Amino acid sequence: MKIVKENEVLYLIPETDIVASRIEELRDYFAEQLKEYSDITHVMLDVHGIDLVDSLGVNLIVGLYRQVTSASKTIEIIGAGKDFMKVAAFFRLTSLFSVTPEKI
Amino acid sequence: MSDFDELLPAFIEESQQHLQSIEPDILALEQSGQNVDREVVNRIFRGVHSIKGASGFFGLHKISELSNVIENSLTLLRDGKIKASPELIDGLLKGVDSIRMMVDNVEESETFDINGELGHLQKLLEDAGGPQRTVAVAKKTSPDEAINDAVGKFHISENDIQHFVQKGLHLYAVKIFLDKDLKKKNRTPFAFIMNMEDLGQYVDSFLDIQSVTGLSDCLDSDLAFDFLFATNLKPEIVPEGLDINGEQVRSIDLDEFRKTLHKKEADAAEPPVAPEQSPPNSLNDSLNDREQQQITYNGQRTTDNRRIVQTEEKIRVGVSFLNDLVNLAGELVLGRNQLMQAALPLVKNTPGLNSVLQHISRVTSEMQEKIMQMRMQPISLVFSKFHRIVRTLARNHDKEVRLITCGEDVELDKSIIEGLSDPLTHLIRNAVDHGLELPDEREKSGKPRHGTIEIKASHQGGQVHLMVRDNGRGIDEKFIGRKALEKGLIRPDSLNEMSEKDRVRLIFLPGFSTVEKVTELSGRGVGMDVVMTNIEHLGGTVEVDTKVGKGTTITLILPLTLAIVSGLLIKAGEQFFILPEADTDELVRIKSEEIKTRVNIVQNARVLRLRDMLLPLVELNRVLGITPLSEDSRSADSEPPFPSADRELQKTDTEEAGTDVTKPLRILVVRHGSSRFGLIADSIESTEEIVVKPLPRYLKKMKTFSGVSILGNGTVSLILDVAGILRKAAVRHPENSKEAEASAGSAISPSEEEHVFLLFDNSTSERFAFPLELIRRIERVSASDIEHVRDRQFIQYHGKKLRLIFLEDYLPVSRPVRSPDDTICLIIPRHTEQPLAIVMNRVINTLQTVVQLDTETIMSPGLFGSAVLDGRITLIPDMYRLFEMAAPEWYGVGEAARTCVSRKCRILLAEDTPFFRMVENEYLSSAGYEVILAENGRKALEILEEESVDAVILDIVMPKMDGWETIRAIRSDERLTHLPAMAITSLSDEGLAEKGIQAGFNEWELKLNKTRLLEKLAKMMMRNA
Repeated sequence: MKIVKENEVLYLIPETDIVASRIEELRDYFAEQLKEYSDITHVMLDVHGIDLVDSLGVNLIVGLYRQVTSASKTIEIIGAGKDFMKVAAFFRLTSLFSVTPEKI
Repeated sequence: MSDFDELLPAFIEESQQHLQSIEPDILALEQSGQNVDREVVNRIFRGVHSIKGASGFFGLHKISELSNVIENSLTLLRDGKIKASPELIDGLLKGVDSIRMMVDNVEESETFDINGELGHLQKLLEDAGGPQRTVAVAKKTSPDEAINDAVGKFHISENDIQHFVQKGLHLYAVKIFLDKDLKKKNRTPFAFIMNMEDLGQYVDSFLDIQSVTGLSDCLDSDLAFDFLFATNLKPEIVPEGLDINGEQVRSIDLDEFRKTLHKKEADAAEPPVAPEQSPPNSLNDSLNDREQQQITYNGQRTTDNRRIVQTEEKIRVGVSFLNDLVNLAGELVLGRNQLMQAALPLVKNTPGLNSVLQHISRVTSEMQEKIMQMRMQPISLVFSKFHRIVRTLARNHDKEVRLITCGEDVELDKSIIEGLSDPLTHLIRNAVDHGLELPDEREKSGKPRHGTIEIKASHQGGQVHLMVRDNGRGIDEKFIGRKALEKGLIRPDSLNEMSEKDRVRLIFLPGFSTVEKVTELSGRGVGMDVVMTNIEHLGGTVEVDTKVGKGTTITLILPLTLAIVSGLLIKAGEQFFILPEADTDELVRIKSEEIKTRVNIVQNARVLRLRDMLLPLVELNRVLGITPLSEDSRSADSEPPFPSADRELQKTDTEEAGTDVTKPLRILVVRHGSSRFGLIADSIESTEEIVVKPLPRYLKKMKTFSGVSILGNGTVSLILDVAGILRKAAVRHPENSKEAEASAGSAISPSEEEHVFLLFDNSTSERFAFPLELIRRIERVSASDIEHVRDRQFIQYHGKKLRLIFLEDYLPVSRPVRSPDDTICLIIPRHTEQPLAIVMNRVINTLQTVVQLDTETIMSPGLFGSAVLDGRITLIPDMYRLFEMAAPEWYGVGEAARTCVSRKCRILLAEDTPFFRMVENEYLSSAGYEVILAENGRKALEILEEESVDAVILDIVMPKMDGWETIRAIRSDERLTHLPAMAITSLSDEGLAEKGIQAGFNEWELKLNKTRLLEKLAKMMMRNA
């Protein structure tokens, strides 16, 4: 897992599938980074290279969204592959925030 | 004027549109008898429902009330509680008539007496135990919870619902839980989506995220996800298919859903004060607005505009606005033409000017084309009223008539559509009134009691053919002749000289109709002169084909549009004239040494022997009374005013127009209906998009001209009217010339059949040739205009993207070196609908010769072989094969052909000419057929004695035994009575096809058109199977 901070933007780069086996680890990692970089205004979740998102993965992304927006920050997902885009569109995540295939 | 008043015209217009489609649908219900088509019922229902809803909005209670009763009747019909009886159909039609009258006179609609219509339908409803008379606007329904919930949560438009109804899909609201339904069942969301998409169509969804507040609790919540799902699966199957509990799936009634949606939208549009103070801008605007809005649910505005069913925004514009646009487009085309002409001398010395000019030219053409498309309307607008007319006429005349319409989606310019209504109505009335016999009379003559009238529209060669065919008593040409004599419309000597066809055409003489109207004898003629005049006024022609006792076919041949056409600029004397390209079939060049043998006098008329035909020749100078150019003036004026795109084919500026046998002769083969003649002009210059302007008043009576246009050099030119020229020149077609000459074999020995080839090169040492019949035209373009998309090359051509095929990419030939400064030529094929062109360097010549094809020395896929033409080795490419190699996605074998191929069908091909035999064999073999070859009909019969085949293809003109004799022998053999047989011929007379079918052929097709040959063959065999 990687993070990059550029000015007020925090890039969260999991580099692993967002699935049940890694879900708690990812959740804690996200929470930690958000706490550490509380001065940021925008979160970029970079999912490039991620092939699989299971149902708990959807829960985690929703949780991240709620966490970020409750602190008056914004979030978007970048680097989404075709399958990820399909899942994001189906679950209407695209109506909550921007999900694009763009890479950094 | 209040907003309410402003909206009324929109209501009237929309209601009239609905009514236009409702009436034919009601008549279709009657035709369907016991097997009521639910979709037709639903379509009527939707139209009536829209009128009901809108009329209620405007407080038009009578329209609303009558619509409601019709709606109730349709509900019972759909549920199978009543039948589509004549009483019901009468009631529905009368009801629709009354609604139409009220809509047309909407301000007085509340004073109309509709009790008769209501009573008629209400009685049927009461008899069937249906709903009692109710007033729609007062009726309140209470949609169930699922619908209310769905309407609030999801976005779905009227169009979506219509789409589901049309496709017969059910709509379900589905709820899944991410933990229970996915995680616990080890299903990933992606797998769930894929499974769902296999079962149906996702419509819209909603994820409830309220139970999650952040990262700390996100994994504890079982998120609920709702989605709308359209599928043809029944309710009991859906839970099983999605692997969820039954209670998580709720079926949604589309009608109820629609009502709730309307109500919700009306509520949303309703202002705090009175409804009429701020109604929607148009009746459908509220829906359209919703479609344009970003998706909204639970009061949250979102940014996701992804939709499953895409709809395009539409606006209405007035016809006068469209007309102005067409006029402006015309002026723009004129301006473009003049600009091109004026700027041409500057191009060489002004870098970049050429590409700017080309760009302006291209954009102008595209814009003009788009504007013309805006005026195009489907012919169904005219066809739709004929069902009612035929029904009424049939009842009045105690006849049983079935009307079949075909090709309703064919589009024509609005002005042509409007001008067609009267002539077509006339033809239909005549067909019912005079053409079809009474049921008893039909029965006596062995026909079914009901007569059939077929109206068919189709595109053919850039024109639209409208055919009105009946299977009635036909027209007796002798009777027509006698009547014309009695009325003094024709002299006895003229009548004697007339062919059967010409006698039948006497029905078009003014004055003939009145006589026929008084008598009630066979034959038509009631106002046919008016039909002819109207159609010619639209730039069209009328053809009649009839057989006594069998029926009559009247074909109207019309241009697609009247405003801007492509024309061929020709010269007679010093004057330029425009010949519409649609009237021109081909340009024939006769070598000086061939003139004597190919131009002859037959029946006191000069004719050209062209392939298997005798073509009457007309000199434009003589017809127009213009003095021909002298040699001196001709050479001085020989430079054409415009750059010609296909000068190679048209080097005519110095040629002699008469029969000077010392110079080659160029003849324009012109078509008018089924008549063809050769037009000789002083010179043939170029093609140009021209804007058609009406003739000035003082030229109106000159029937040889149809209009006038301004050319690129600013001069005014008259547009030739082919029908007028034909009449003024008193052209007579040698009686049955083609058939007689071809069958007798007097002109051309079949075994030595000549073909006309276009010889060309490709900037290399190789020479190539294509049969001229395969070529529509040659275009000259700049190589710099070629655009590259990946590994493919295109050029913009008449607003389309024309894919370029380079011979060197597919054939084992030298690769030319081309630079962007080069000018290249494009061969535009005749018989393909796909936008493809073959690139070459230049045309060398056209050559009429007997080809000795060598299929061994130089061979490769895409080549028929080679031949020595004009003293040089010449490669003859297989045009279709090249297209198949270059664009396999466009040239796959059709469904029907595949079916046949899978069974390895055996085809017997009888063709005497080695070249055609080889080409047709190649066409058939490449499609997977097993082909047995015969050189003539006799050989074919011998083969049929010994071998079994699935179909035969016969050439018509063959030595020893021709196609006619062969098919008669086949049909007289009991074993072969049903053997599918196709004629394949160079004889292009449309009348021959009809005779061919009568003689026993199942299909008739011209040679060299591979696509059509294979399509017709496959269809023929499928029918037989």
